[in-house]
Amino acid sequence: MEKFNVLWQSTALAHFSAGQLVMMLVGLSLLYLAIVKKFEPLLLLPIGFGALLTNIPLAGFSEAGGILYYIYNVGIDTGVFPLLIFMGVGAMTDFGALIANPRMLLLGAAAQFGIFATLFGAIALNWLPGFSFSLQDASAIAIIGGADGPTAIFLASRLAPELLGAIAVAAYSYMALVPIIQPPIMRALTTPAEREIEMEQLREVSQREKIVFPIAVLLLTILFLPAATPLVGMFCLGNLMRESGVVERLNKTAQNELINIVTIFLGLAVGSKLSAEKFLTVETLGILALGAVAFGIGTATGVLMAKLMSRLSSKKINPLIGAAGVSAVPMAARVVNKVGLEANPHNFLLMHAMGPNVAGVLGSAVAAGVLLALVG
Amino acid sequence: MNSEAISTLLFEASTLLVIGMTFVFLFLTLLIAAINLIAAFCRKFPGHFHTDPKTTLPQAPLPNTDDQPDAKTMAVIGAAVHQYRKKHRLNVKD
Repeated sequence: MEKFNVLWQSTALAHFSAGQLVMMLVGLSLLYLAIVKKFEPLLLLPIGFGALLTNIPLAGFSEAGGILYYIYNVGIDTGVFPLLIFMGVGAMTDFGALIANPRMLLLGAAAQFGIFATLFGAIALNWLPGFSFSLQDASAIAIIGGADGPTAIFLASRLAPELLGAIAVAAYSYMALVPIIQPPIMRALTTPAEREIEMEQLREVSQREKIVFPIAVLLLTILFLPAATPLVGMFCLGNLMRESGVVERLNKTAQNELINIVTIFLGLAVGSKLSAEKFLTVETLGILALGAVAFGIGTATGVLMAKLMSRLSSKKINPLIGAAGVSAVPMAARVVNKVGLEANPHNFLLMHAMGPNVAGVLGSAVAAGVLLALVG
Repeated sequence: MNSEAISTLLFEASTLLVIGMTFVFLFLTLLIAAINLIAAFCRKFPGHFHTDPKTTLPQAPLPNTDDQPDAKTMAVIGAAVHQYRKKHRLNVKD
């Protein structure tokens, strides 16, 4: 009988807590979203599976000695994984559309209002019982509005590691939901006539400009915002490898093999933070709500800024492209293109939206740097 | 958390909002100026080194209308055959 008891105690069945079961269900629903709904499958699949693994009783994946514990400490605690991802994103990004029309950077800046407004909202949530967000927590939550996964993870790992799981899940879920969240806001803030505006074709950009661009960005960051140089520096390195044309092999590795390998580990490590005691809190609900608000505000301010620019500028600007200012490359630009085509079937806004889109990546990296410098 | 602490935090958050947005705008405006400068520089000095493969590619010769290759092509083929024979002398009986 005693032997039977020992055997029973060594099964997971005897040790499951309710919280672990719920978190396993959360993991399974992330897998469902990734596989069936195809929401950001590259990240939600490893995150969901990581959530399953970390909640197995007795296996200790996320305790000292477990593999997820080491992956987290090596990659996210140090900030290495999000930075490597950022290098790969840099290698995948073509700044041509932005260099051809640099004023689009203002749209990328305007859309960052979502971040700072959410910071305000996160602190205001403290009026409700059950919430106690510090300024650090609030900053890490607010960066969800930057719609940039690696930036959000990097900032959360610096400022509020205990909220990282919820923040990463919120950031990637909302990025997948961009086609659902953005169009109603875009339509509400523009008139049909504005949505039909066709824009001039962009000029061609020489390779020399594209090579000098990342170096110029890095120089400005070094001078004015050293706190953002980890993010911006890795991004510019990736972009220089792409545009210089002399290190094709490194460029290919950065935007394929390396980013894929890091994505697997990043997803697993984020999943390992989805444990019951950290995720099943009222604060997670607050973070999910704030993330949606951040996205909505960012989209709205981007569109409003584009409207303002189109009033003031001599060149025609379709205000829809302002919505792409919330990075989420290239999904937000595709959404702009789609909404534009609904209004005017001959109006292809994709290339015009890529400008504010990549400007948004720079904008959210700069905003992250500001938060790190002032709050961290 | 007491309401006094929250008010202090809210004040800090609003300061962050103003400073943060101002900085983001200033930084990206500076970047606009930098891009325009780079573009102006590239226009003014249109480059001794054209690294863009699309612009450095020589114009493709117009295709021949008759079946016979022209003199230039013949010369190139001749030179290539000569090179080949020189390299592979051991294998070629001539």
